[in-house]
Amino acid sequence: MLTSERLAALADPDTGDVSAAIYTDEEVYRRELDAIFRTSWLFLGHESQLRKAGDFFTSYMAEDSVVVTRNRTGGISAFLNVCRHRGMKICRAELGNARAFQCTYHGWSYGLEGDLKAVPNQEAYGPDFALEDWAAIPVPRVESYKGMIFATWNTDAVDLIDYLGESAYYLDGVIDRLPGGSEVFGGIHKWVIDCNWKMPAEQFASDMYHAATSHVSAIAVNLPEDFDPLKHGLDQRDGVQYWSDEGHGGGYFLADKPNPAIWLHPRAKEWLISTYEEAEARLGAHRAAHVSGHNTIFPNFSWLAGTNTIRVWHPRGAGKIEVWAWTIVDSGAPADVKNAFRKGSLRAFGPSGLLEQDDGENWVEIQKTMQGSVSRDTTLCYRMALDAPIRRSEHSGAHEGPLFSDTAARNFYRRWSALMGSGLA
Amino acid sequence: MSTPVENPDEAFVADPVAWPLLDPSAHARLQQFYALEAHLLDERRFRDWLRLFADDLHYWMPIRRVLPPRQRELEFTGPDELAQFDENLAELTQRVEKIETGKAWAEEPPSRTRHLVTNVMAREESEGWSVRTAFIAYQSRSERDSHAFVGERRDQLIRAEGAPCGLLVRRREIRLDHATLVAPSLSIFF
Ligand code: FES
Ligand SMILES: [Fe+2]
Repeated sequence: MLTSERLAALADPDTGDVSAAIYTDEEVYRRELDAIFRTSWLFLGHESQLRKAGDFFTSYMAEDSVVVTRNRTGGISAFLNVCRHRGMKICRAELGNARAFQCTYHGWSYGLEGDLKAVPNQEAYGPDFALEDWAAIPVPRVESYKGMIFATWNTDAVDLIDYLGESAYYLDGVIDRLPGGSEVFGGIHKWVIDCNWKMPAEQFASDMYHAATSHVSAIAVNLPEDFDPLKHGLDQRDGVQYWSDEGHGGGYFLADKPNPAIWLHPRAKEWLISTYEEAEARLGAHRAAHVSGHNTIFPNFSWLAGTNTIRVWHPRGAGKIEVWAWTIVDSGAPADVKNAFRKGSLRAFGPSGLLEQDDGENWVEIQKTMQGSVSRDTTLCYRMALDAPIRRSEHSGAHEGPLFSDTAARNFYRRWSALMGSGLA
Repeated sequence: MSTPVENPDEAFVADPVAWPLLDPSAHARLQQFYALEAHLLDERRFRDWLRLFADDLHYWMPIRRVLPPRQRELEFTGPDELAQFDENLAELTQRVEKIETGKAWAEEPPSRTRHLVTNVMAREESEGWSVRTAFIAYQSRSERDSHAFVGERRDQLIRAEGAPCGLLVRRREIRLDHATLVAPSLSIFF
């Protein structure tokens, strides 16, 4: 049984000792669904997917399917994709435009806000049956941050802006670089990886360290002829890791001018450099120059600056995830620039991505290996930079320290432990 | 949401009764070409495989989506949307270079693959052939991981003197039968 004692033994954020069982234990996973995913803000999608009234898409909050709509008043609604009659999916499409959703089992139909509008042969239920009593379960809190739609089941949650906290500063560096904000391309990469959701979430929070080994082949085929590893930031002395009390984290290489990742499309690199002054006026020099880096918003939303992939690691059991990855771009960019970001992102971080391939391979092998009785009790080492000096960022207010560090991962597990332990005997 | 893709191939077989019998020698040439291609891929002779493509290649695998009837024409993502692959010849070559480093961990140790290409339907055009085929690309990895990718390829082949079977692929659209992919990555070729 999961007790607070056992939980403390699974992950010790102070020493950095983490048991591999956090990736495989079914009881841990079942508790995560409630303690983590029902309490935290989760990313649903982007407002540019809902341009006009009646536009909708289906998304997930962990394993729960939800319908997200642009409602008749122009707002955004989200409700559980479960018919109140027998539990059939109310909406079976990924996206579209509709006035109502009719359940394909017995024909109950629901409005854009999840309201139950009609029930065939309603008189058979008797005179006391009220449609209002059987609306789809609403997602009680839905808020957007600069086009990014988040939601939570937790009515006591802090407002989204406070939840994002210091991370909003870094997110702005991608989604609010220029007037007009940003939008996502049509098409979402959706694929299944047989690994625990915390592997990628934690990696995007804390792990620049893996890139030089995991992605060595992708780096090799993208190196410019005049490559200088110091100038292009493959050396950790050039970088910073940040983390916040909410469990978020990220890392980036320092730069005094924009230094786009080598695998970006040439036209996208040019754009980041040529719009630097405009972005600097808006964001300040620090963010305008930091055009690459990895980031996670606890628990399962991550993005890569510059490559502009934004993604959710939907859990599907202890040993499986469904990745949903969008690509985001400055709305005001010319068509050829947008195309460059589109191609660069899908070629680096789509399922076929020259970098993405490498990560999935590692996670799948870890998950299989950890099934062994001895293996799953292995203590994993999260001790990097345990004693390194830390400080508050003068820019964002987040905690920060050296780039090659497990500190943001330990911080991720500190938050994880706090939520998992609440109410445990 | 984007505008529907104009698909000139939509009525590949307008009237089944009027579908012409493929000339046996043309059929043999096309089948040999695809068998050769599959052989090169499965033998991991990727440099030789690249020789089957024209310089102005477009190699494209759109994303497939589950859509309601009214939006069904948007089932495949269009050219201004995300895709699984969207490559010119230089970009496709870069993928081969990645494997050649010996450190592309999703292909090292190498995948064991078998490409089965069948159901050849071809229409002769001025420069060559417009061809549809069905395929199964089977991938076995590590000790016992396996994935099967199934779908259709829509090729534009051009006649080319000195090319294998006298043909080159100028355009390939790969339409997987999968919506959400049930595989950790697309590290093999189609
Ligand atoms: S389950 Fe939806 S109408 Fe019966
Ligand atoms: Fe990675």
